[in-house]
Amino acid sequence: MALIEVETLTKTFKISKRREGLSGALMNLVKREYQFVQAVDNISFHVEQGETLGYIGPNGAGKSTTIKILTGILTPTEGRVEVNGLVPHKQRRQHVKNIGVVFGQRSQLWWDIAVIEAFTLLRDIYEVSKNDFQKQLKKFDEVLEIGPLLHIPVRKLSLGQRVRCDIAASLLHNPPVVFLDEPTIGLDVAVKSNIREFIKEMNASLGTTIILTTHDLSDIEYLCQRTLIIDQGKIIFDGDLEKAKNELARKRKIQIDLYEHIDIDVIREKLNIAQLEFTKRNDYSLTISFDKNEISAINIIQTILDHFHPRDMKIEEPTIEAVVKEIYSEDI
Amino acid sequence: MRSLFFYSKIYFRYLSQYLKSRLEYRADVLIQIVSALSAQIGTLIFVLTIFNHIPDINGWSYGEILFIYGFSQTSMALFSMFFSNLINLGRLYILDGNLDRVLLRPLPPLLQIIIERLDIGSFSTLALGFGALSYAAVKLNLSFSYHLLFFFVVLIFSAVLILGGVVLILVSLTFWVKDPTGAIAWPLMTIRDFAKYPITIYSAPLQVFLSWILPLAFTSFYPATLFLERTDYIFHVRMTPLIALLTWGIGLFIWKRGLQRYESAGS
Ligand SMILES: Nc1ncnc2c1ncn2[C@@H]1O[C@H](COP(=O)(O)OP(=O)(O)OP(=O)(O)O)[C@@H](O)[C@H]1O
Ligand SMILES: [Mg+2]
Repeated sequence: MALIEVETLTKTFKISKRREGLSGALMNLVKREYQFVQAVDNISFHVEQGETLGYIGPNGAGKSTTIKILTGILTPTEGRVEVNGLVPHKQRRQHVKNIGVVFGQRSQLWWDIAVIEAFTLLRDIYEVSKNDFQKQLKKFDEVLEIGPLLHIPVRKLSLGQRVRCDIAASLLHNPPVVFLDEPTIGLDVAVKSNIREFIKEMNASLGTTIILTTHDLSDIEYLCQRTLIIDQGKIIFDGDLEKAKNELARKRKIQIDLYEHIDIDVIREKLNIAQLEFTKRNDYSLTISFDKNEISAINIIQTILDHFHPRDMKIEEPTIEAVVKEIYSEDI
Repeated sequence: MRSLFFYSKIYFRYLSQYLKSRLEYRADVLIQIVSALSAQIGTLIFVLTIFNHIPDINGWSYGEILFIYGFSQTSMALFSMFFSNLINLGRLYILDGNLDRVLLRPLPPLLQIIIERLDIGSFSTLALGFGALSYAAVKLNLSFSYHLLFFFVVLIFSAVLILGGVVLILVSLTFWVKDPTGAIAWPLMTIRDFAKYPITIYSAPLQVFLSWILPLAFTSFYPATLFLERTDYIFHVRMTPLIALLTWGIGLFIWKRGLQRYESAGS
């Protein structure tokens, strides 16, 4: 049995349609029209213990909704969810003892009290020993640099400072399962890389199972062996993005700078292959796009070397963004 | 099942945090207490003068009316002290999605909401209500045996629970009727003033309403009659703890059902 099991999960929101203007508002009082949004539409997946799962998709795809179901906040409309043998929305209090949750968009901390007070309150709620608590604080201070923030009320922190405190708060009790919904939102480059390192380390040393949603694909590239892509409530990809990068983004580009003036027609004549696409960048530089499954880059380069005088050449690897874009467009 | 010790500890930890955060705004706290106090003194003066001129209303003497008034204020103050945040449950927690945060902690959600905030102003209501109650008791020469003292505690406790239960029922309806104005709890806030006076002064339908629909008469008038040595309402006195259990039973049922419909907020 997998640690997290999601079977044919669906969540439908009923939204009352609002008409425009004051007369519309009055009409709304008399007669409401409803609209149904399938935020999560019949999805299934399993996560094994110790996995770091990336969960990505465009805005409004259903990521946060899925996380809210997995953490027991929302009750599914249909389907089955189990985490660690518990059904989150039914055995919620038992379940939340074993999980850590960060919603980057919305703080889980009490607004009016100082960070350290919030932490000690959480220590008492989760019954963490004083010793462990001190150890955790020290560790978090090293990675998240929260030391200077401890005595500031939460409402006075900047977005990035608050997110750092939220991450620390969610991990105080050393949960075996962690849900991170946009945990790197608003973080500067240095802290972001610290956090990535920290998440990776936590996964490696403690075997923590992690589900991570983000709009920063480099987070995913760095941390996740497996990624789910969700779009309009449906899972459209489940696998290794690195592999997908190799399989899906077949289009490669070579950028070539020549000493001589470029005449596309001459080059096209020498490189007589139908599927090539030429784009002139300027008089001395051009880009050749090709499908790497049909033509090898070596062939192109060899031909260029034989007939022209190249000054510089660059092969562009597909980026992870390009891969994700391609998956989205295939879905449509 | 976690021990009572654990919950009491958590309760006091929340309480001290809350007080600490409030005391940062000393002026604010002072204003709250002073304004609540002056409002209370205002009504008290009103009651004292009006009823001083009328020796008896509908068979209720001035002292008796004051006692009922004091009982009502005492239970209302204790309600505000412990359950005031329940009134925010609809808008602040259910509609604004703050319930997310509460649901992610391994503590009963209602407990967390109740202890996240308390109404400091209600201390002055409590002092005045209890003052009025004691003054009336002395004036009426009421004898308080240990027996009666015990019943007093039970009945005040029940009255507070009834107020809390009724509010819980009303605000839990927010899960169905998405009411951003918090108007659901509004009738209670107005109608509760009726409970400050002997309900026999009202028309029969209103009496039925205050007894069996919105049972506010059980938070003041009925339980108070036990100490006024009136025997006509002994059935209602006995019903008071049962009504407390019933309102909480219904309240918890609606709350639990509503929780399954909780939609969080978009972000
Ligand atoms: N409480 C709610 N009530 C009604 N509709 C909702 C609610 N929460 C989410 N939705 C709708 O469900 C869909 C999915 O929302 P969700 O928040 O899960 O998206 P997301 O993938 O997390 O997006 P983002 O990347 O912007 O955070 C959206 O169309 C949203 O409008
Ligand atoms: Mg989201």
